[in-house]
Amino acid sequence: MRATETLTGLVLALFAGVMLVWIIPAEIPRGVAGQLSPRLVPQVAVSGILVLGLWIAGAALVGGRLPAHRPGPFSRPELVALVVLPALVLASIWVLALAGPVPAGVLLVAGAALLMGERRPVALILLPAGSLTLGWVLLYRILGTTVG
Amino acid sequence: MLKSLKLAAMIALAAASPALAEWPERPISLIVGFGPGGQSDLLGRALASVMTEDLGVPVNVVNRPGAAGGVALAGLRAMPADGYTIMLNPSQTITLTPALMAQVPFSIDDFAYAGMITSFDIALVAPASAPFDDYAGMVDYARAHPGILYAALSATTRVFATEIARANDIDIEILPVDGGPGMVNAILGEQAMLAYSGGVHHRYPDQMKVIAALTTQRNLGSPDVPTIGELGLPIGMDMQSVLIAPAGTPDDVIARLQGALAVAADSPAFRQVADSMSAAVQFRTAAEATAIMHAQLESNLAIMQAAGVQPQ
Amino acid sequence: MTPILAGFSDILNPATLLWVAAGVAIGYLVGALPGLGKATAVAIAIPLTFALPALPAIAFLIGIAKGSAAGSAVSAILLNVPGEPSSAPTALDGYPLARQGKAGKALKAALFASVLGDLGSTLALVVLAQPIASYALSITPVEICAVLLFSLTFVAGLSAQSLAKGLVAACLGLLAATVGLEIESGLPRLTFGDYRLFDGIPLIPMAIGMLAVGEMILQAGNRAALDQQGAAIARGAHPDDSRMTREDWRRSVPAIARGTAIGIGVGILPGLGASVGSFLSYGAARSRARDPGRFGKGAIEGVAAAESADNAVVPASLIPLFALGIPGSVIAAILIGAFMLHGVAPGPLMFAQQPRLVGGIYAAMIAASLALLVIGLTFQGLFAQVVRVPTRLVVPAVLFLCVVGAWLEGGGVFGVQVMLVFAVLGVVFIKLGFSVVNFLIGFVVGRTFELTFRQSIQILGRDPWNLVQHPIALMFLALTVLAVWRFSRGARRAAPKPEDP
Repeated sequence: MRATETLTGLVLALFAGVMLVWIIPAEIPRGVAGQLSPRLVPQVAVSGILVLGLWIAGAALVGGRLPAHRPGPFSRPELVALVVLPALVLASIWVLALAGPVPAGVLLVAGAALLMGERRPVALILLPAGSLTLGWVLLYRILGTTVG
Repeated sequence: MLKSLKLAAMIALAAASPALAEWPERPISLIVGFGPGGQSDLLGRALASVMTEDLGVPVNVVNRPGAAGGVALAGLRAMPADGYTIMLNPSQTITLTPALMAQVPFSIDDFAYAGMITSFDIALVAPASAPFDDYAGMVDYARAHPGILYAALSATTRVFATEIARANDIDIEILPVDGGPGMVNAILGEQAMLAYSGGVHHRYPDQMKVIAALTTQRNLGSPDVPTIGELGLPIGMDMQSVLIAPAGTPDDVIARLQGALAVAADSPAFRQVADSMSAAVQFRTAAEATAIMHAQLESNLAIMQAAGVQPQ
Repeated sequence: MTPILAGFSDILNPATLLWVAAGVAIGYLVGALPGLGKATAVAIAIPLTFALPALPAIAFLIGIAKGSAAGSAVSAILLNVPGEPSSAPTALDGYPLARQGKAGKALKAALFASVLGDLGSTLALVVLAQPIASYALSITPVEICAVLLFSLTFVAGLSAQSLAKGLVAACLGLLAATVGLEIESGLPRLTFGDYRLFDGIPLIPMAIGMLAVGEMILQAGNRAALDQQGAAIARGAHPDDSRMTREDWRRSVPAIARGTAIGIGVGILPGLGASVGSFLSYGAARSRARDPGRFGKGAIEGVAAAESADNAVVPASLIPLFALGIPGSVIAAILIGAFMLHGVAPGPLMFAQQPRLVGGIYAAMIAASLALLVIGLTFQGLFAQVVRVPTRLVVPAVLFLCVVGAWLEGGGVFGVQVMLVFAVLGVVFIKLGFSVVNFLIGFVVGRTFELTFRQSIQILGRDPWNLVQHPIALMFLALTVLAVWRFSRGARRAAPKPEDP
């Protein structure tokens, strides 16, 4: 846990350093004379992150006192969900471009239900049907827009 | 062989021509490049309801906000040129953005223009309590009080202040504000003495006065106030609401859209909405709109270049 | 005064009342759906307002605003998925209450607090619009900038129990807010050449990702434990768990009174928004409590404090609009469109030229508060059953609604992509003990903060000594220093305690 804290602080500091040295100069123009530089606020925010990141790392290393927060370790099912659910959404966006909104919506809802361990056929039919009908009423009937 | 070719051609013709002749046969999406509730959105919705009646198919408003319509324009460019996806947007997104940005994901030639319907009364305004009433008075006041604040909505709008200051050798400082509401706040709160207005000042006739029109022609809402060009500085920039389709849209579809636009310009329902938004209804045909767009782009590029603004 | 009174009677027209109720119902129901919120409800409403006369149109939109502000508490309490960032503090105590089987109680506390905050703020609008307005004009960007600085520090210190981590999250939010075209020079910042980022990262897909999708990922990972809890809730139900007891009221009334006052104050100032209001109110309730340890574990007054301020912001943000014609909030800007469409110029002249309409709007606003009470109570029993729905059905349905919401508000696929990026970031934040909400607050106020900072430099003529002419700003700057001092001391003394992410 203490190692996580130290690592978190160091990663934040590293991120801030990279932003300060490379990304901000490359991605933000210098600006016009006579007004506040466009770089100023990003630089102030990133400098704050740098200092605070080092502080977090240092406090976890030196101080015996742990911060009130417990960084909970990732459990295995959480890690799986973190990868699988976003992947499912990306897959359904891809299907949307290939096959249109209905297959994409079915894949999203039924896929998520299957991944969550739903096996009853009735639920696997009703949930996508209900969700898609609601989505269709909202997007096509009420708002008059289209998807795809 | 010849016979079958002829037959194929006939089938192709038969398949193609009714499709064009019968346009529109399914709902049309009218894209608005701003969120719901603003001036562009309300004008778009008023236009859509007139077009629905005139064309006989539903015309649905689709909001795609982002970069003053730029995000939606970048999307429109890639849409099929069949007249079923069209867009109503202020002209400056196409005619001014290239002067400010090096990379613009669309250009004036990516689109066909079906006509214009309103023009914006762009003006230099001041709070009603300001101790000057016209341009000359403003210049005298600024000379006596260096550093008066000018509320600017964007990089484009600040060009007017810097050019006026340079031409008259006076000192005008810029107060950056966030959109029309921010400008209203700065003028009503008397934090700024001058401001750029895209027409919103007509809603506050007792609290704001017009110092100069920042267009090439006088404002329709304040015909007595001279343009900045008449006052000796040829930096007027016009802006109209233009109906845009992807380039390559068939001419008869464009003609039909132009017709619908003409009907809207004469429709009392559309005029009422436009009046309430302080937008001046001014119909232009597709040919006129295309010419205006190209002339506007050239003139804007020249003005910005003369002002020393480099695309970034 | 008489025409205003005549306007009050206009509201008794059944059609107008129906539109008020319809607005509140649409707002409440759409707001209660995770992933959809005020923006979707407004999009539903705008085409309808075209066809309506002035009073019903405006009443309808006001109903939408009030309903969605209250509705977003429902998913916050039941699913830990705040419909808007401003309901995030509601979830801090509302969700623990729901998991203890007290969903009914939490929903009622949120609804009563919303209605009371709303009503109090509406009355403030009616009585005080004119006198407060002249005060609002004396508020310049200098004061707003100081208030924002104070709010950021105060909120960072409160919601994260480690000030350092709270500030890191807020700084990251500020940094994310700088993405896009810079407002003064119009130059692109941190866009990596992607044109879709020129207007900045879209807030709604970001908030959906961090608050809703991130939470769904965590719930999916812990579904076994959650479903066990759900079954336990279904078994043991005490009648006191679904109503407000005398003791609950005793704890909540001061929180609601304070929350309403804070909400009114925040609503009048442009650029702060409901999130700042509800967090300041939640923080004030916690720092005033005799036993702050209860907060985050199901303190009923935490729910009441957050929701009363959240709803009080809505009517108060109309004070500058009615009295001065200045749109102080998003909903006020949308209302201007509706006013103009019907030939009414919002502002002081409205009272002279259209007193009857003003009276009608006031009456409609009060009617909307009451409609909110009735509609909320009607649907709550139904909503409370959501706690019993197993996670395997909740996750797919919520995920679908989130994708729809992000699609609508983020301009298609791009919105969904933004949502996913911030969902993953949100999970990492929560797991490492950083506050997602501090990030969002930093993001929400970041743009206004930078703008008012730039404006302040111009208004002060680049001379910090001119600050002397802005005593209110000086006061808030002093309060900021005080807050930093207090929180860094408080953190040193506080014993480690478990905290709900």
